[in-house]
Amino acid sequence: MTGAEKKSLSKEQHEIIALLRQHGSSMLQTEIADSIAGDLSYVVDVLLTLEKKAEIKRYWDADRGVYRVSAVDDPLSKIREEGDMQMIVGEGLSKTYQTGEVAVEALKGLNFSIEKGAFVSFVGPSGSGKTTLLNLIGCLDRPTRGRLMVADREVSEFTRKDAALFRGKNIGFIFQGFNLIPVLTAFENVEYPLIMVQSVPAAERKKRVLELLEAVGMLDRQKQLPDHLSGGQKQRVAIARALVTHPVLVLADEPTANLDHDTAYGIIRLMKKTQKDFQTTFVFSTHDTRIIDEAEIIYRIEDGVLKNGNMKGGAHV
Amino acid sequence: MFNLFKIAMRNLLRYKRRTLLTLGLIALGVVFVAVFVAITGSFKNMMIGQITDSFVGHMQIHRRGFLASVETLPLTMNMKPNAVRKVENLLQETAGIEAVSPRIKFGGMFSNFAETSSIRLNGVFPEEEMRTVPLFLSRIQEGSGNLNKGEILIPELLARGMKVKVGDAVVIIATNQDGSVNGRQFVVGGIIESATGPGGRDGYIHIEDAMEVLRMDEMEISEIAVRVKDFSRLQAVYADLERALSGEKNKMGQPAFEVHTWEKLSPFYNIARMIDVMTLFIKIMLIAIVLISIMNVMIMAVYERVREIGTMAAIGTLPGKILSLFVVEGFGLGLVGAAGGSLISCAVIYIINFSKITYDFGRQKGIIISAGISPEELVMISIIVILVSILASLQPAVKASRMDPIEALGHI
Repeated sequence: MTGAEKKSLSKEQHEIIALLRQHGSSMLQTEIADSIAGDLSYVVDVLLTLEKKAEIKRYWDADRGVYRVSAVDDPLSKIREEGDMQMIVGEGLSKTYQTGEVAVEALKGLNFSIEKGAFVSFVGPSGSGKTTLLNLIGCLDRPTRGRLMVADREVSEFTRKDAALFRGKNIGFIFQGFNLIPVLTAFENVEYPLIMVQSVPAAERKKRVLELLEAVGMLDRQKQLPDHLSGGQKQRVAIARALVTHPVLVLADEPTANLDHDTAYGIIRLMKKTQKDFQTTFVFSTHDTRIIDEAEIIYRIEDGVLKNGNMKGGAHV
Repeated sequence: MFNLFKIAMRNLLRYKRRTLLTLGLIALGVVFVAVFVAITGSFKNMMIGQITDSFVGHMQIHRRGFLASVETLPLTMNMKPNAVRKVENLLQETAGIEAVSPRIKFGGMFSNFAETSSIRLNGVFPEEEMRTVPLFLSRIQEGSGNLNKGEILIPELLARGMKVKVGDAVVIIATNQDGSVNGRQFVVGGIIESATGPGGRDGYIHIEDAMEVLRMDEMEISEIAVRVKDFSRLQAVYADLERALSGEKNKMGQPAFEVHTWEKLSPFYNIARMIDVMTLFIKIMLIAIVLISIMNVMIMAVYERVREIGTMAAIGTLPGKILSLFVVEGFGLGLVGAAGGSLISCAVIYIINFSKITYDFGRQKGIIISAGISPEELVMISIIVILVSILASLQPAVKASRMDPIEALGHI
């Protein structure tokens, strides 16, 4: 898509493109776009805007309870292909905090995209805006200006509940302080999102939790409370917890800051391994120079502005 | 839901000492209220029983206007035989009535041939009176309560003041309905204990003796005391009776009779109401104790777990579930506190009854405390505690659920 095309699209049209990207086979979910699905003119508008012409048919898929939109010659394939590639797209992303009379601009018009399955590090000194950016990507905060697409969804205008639902379904978090729930065992901590966020049946929960505890090498300590685990072990449990919901994206804010050098390496290697095993996009922030090189793609961020960093591929600024 | 409970209970056990202190406070409050209710309830029931079963009866029926002028006991306000028959017929048709006792009440002079004093008397059918007020006999201090014709039962205060003993001859003089005066000699058959309330210091004679003293050709009744089979259904029987009696009109077209329950007849009803009000205040104190202690604990819990709340929110826990988690913790405290308090209350009540503690009330000495609380009352106290616990945990829970995840995660 060119810049001119982007500007000419309405919000609804963007939503349609996002849906098409998300569902691949030109499918529109009625729960999101009932009015749109009822009136194909929006879809036609999108295609015309894109200077594509196609014979569009709409039919009700009773089995799945959705409207399907099919296009002869599949002119949407390009959009899908392009969309399929990107996990995160930020356009003119800014965040300003108001502290009394003083406005602090933490992020200044960031443009970037991160491909699916990438292992990306945001690097920069303290206060450079890394955590703010991760908070925006994690839908914990909203940008002051600009647009942000995460997993093919426009997340900039999410309500609090929508954001929570989106996080629970799509994003895993790894925190600097591990943030395990102290009254729950390692097993229960990993199980927690499956109970409280996704309501997964007990048998499936057990299977997934044990699988992940084994993957992070914590199977033998599954009954331990966090107080009885070392820092590295806690972070392994946290990684398992982040992955247990099968998220498309894992965000880790300074995941090795509280760990010694060897443990930090171990955690980064584990994150890389799980990224490959589970085909998950990993985005983490760090200012730990010892582990930066482990990242495949590095974004350097200074004073709220992205600088060209070590671009190993897959992302553009 | 089970998992929510599991997590909530684990959180409560995280700070064992604080949780135990809170539970102790709630349980103590429950014990205090339950034991208070048990003791005051037993006292109230005992007093109501004493009053209704020893002289007042559960209900009384009078000719309209009699009660307003009861101090003078006007014979002109008595029910004529025809009216009495009507009332008795209605009483027979009304379900739930165990016994009735017609009475002729009048005032007169009492003389021991040396001194003279005033006296209020009840002319009764002894058997019917005993069935209607079965504790009457327990008031007999000396002599017998048989109340044969020619005998009189006199209140102990009068007996003491006039220095009269059982077997002594005394004279009763009374003004008749037509204004003339008549007198008759009686033998003191017994001395009865005085009691608090209207009629508690009256003497008793046989109803036919009363007719003779008052020179009545036909039996004219001042009041009909009524005893119901099941005291807990008193209000229902009263309503039925009142409805039935309301059909009987006097010459003015107004209801000819009036019926009152013991509550309207005895000043002790006000004491009973005071006991109820005190119980209400004690319950309000319990609510305050539970409210403050639970709210305090839950506010502390939220404050101490800000980062944890932030983590839960960040990983996608919906605000409603975070709220539920804290409400369930409050509910858990209330439930365990109420259950523990109820068990301890039962134990304390058992110990009180086992110890046979006595007390004096007025002229009654050595009354054994017979504490008792109904399961319904105990359940009601527990429900109040649990509801208040939920209410108290709501504010902290709402605060937790509305926390901004970023601020919460950054909390130190």
